[in-house]
Amino acid sequence: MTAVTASREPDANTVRDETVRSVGSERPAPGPASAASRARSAVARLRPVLGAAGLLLIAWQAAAWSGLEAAHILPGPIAITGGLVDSAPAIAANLPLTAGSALVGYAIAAALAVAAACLAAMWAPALTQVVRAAIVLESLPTLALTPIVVIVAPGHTAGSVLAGLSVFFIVLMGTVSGLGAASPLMLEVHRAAGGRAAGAVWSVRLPAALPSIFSSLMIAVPAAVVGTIMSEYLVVGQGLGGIMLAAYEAMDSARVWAIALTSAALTGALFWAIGRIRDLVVPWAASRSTEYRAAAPTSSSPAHRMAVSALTGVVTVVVVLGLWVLAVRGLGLNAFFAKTPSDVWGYLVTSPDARENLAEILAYLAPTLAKALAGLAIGTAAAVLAAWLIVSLPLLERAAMPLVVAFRAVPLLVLTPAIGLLVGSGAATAVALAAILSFFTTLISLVQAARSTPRDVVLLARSANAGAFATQRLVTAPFALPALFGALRITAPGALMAAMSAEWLMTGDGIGFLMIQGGMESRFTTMWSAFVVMAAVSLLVFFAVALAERVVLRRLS
Amino acid sequence: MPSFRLLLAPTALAASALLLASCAAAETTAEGAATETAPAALAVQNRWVNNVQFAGGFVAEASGFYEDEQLTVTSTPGGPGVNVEPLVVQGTADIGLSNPANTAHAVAEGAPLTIVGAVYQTSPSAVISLADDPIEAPADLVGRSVGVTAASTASFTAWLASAGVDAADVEIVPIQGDAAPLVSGQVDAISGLATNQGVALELAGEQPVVLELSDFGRDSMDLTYTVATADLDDPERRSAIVRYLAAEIRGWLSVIDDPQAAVDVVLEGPGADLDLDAVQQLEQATLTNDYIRPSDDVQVLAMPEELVDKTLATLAQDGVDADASLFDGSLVDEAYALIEAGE
Repeated sequence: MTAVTASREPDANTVRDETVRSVGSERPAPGPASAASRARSAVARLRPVLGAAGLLLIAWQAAAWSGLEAAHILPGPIAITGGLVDSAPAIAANLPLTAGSALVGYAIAAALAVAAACLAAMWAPALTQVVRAAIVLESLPTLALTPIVVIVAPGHTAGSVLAGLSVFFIVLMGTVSGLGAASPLMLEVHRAAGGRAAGAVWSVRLPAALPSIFSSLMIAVPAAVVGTIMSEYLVVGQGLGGIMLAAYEAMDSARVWAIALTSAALTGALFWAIGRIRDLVVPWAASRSTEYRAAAPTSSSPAHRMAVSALTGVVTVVVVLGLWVLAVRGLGLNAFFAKTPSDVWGYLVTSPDARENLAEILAYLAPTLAKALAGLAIGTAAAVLAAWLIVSLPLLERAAMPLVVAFRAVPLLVLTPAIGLLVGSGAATAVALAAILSFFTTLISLVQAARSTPRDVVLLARSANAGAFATQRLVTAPFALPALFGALRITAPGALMAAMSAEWLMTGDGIGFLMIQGGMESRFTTMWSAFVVMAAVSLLVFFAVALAERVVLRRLS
Repeated sequence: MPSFRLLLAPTALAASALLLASCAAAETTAEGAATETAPAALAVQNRWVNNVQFAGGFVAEASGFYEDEQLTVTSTPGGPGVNVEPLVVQGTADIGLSNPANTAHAVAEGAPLTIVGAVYQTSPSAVISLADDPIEAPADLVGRSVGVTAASTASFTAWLASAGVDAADVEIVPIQGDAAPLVSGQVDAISGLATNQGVALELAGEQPVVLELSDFGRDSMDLTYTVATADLDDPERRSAIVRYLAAEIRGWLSVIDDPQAAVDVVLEGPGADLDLDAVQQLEQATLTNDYIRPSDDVQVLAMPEELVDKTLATLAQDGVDADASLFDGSLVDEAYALIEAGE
């Protein structure tokens, strides 16, 4: 039972690990080379990146000067640099607020997550439940909870809470998969020497889990920064998110982009710092090899597995609902806005209007699904194409991949209104956001997977006179397929969240709009019910992808 | 108690006569009602970032008006995701700056809330277009596109209907709130506030044309003070709110009297970190004054019956269920009595 869950989780995490590794591995290879030659090789390695960045900046500036800048749609790099200079005092005043809120939330949530995972690891059934609860909670549209969070955590605390919520689940999953990665031999030795399961967690499992924990800590950085800035933008009114809001209001688009770049830099700096700590604590982590695998084969019968899944599923639902009630009661939240599972059940199932209530929510859900699906399809297709090109042309890989990884630090959600101006309509913004997020996650994991294709298989294909593109199709693609599915597990629910957030911020239709409108008009039961429906759909999507993965990979193997 | 005569600016002679009389009066009230003027702490939730929109409170704090009333006031900024009503219901905030529609919705859903004062006595809601393609009357909107925020779509369509325009003939485009979609040509007009986007457009070198909804059959109070109804029955809490309103009135009168000084307070104090544009803030403050005190005989923050009726009519138009019990104007009246007694 644990094996089933555990075999799924490392895969989902592996995909995210790619971001970490592709950045983390950008360091000179150790060797006898002199400092001067190392510097020369660094410059040689950077040349394609700098070239690509230069071309990008020139194209951007040209587009801005062609009229986009004058129309307040898109400022060029020169204007943004001006905006950065002009905003320096405001940024200097607010960056510490944002960094402080993000770090407090980050540190507390990470510590709690590691502790929770270690405690749960002492008892297998608890571990299963913690992992499942984490999957459910991670697929919640936490952004839509911001107006509720601010009621119990006013001011900057809201920023910390939102950062913490995003961090907790990522680190929890990272820790759980790391704890499960301990060498069976070591565990056996520990047991044979008279150690207990609880002791093994500390002396064997935790040290083995450190690389995975650090990976998740690095992956969690962008989520923490975006969570803080979004809450500042939506409810706190201070920090980088606060000045972003003021800049939008003043139509100072150069400042908007300057702030976005600043938060990207903040993300990059924190990411780098945690990477350095990782190198000190677990120097072997960065060289850990990546292994893609489909779900581990299980020996039990399908009927038995289904029964076990159903049972743990029911327990998970009970656990999550229990946590929900506990939060509402424990924090003493007023029933006017803090609805409970029974309120939602009544609204959607037992009340005389239940049918209409559910119909209303589903009617709002439909456009969200359409936008998310369109964005996911476009983003994934573009990523497959781009990965193909990048892997086939090594120069392109060296030029583009560092930019691709760096781009992921830009807090896209905060730029939603700016993207809205670029693409022209609210619905297109939702599709674009979903597409961009899917594109980058998929591209990075595909390129990483292609890189990890065994060298001898590629050489074999080459020796049989296969061209670069043919090698891709015949050799690399089968190795990249698991990576594609791994990415989809993140991007499919992610696209849904992106579409919902865009609706929440600007489009005026879809389930995101229903939630914000519900809050505005004090229709809190509608808001919570929409939230539950959204979470259920997001989970269904996750499991549908997992199922598709199992079917497809089994046929391939 | 410090003198307050400069702000109300009566003639110097009358003021000094009043001052002499009221000093004696103030002492007796202070002695007689010691329990009611117990020091109190109030948490205020604003609905937006710390800009000149909330200058009255910021000036009251900076000028010591809260302190005069033995109040410690903590104000918290907001943003587009803040719903003021649940914050007041939960008690996280004692006073919320909201609008009648949001509070009426909350009351209809069972929240025990009351509106006790209004900063804007007439609504600055407007349709804003550009001079090269102006929208000067509701009928001009037929066949055009208008950017409307998600939050105000319902009330905008209700206004269209009341102004005799079929909503089906107008293309409503959801926007975030700022005027950029208008400048970029994405829409022909935006629904916004005469005091906000118009100024931003002017400063961006554009020529905005402002059509005020209040000129075409839609008027309402706005930026209203929402409190928990239960607080009004508790003598100590009620006294604290009345004293808060008294300080706010003095604060807003200062803003009307000297918008530049008010902008300085905001930009050097609560709004300092936002690095706001001083010119834009002054322009906004000056324009806003006409909504806070449309004419000299208007009592700032007061909610006379005709204002309540007009607001209820607008709410009814929007399909919001509300009646006059949503408003309680007696606290502002008491606040004025307190100010007069304190002079």
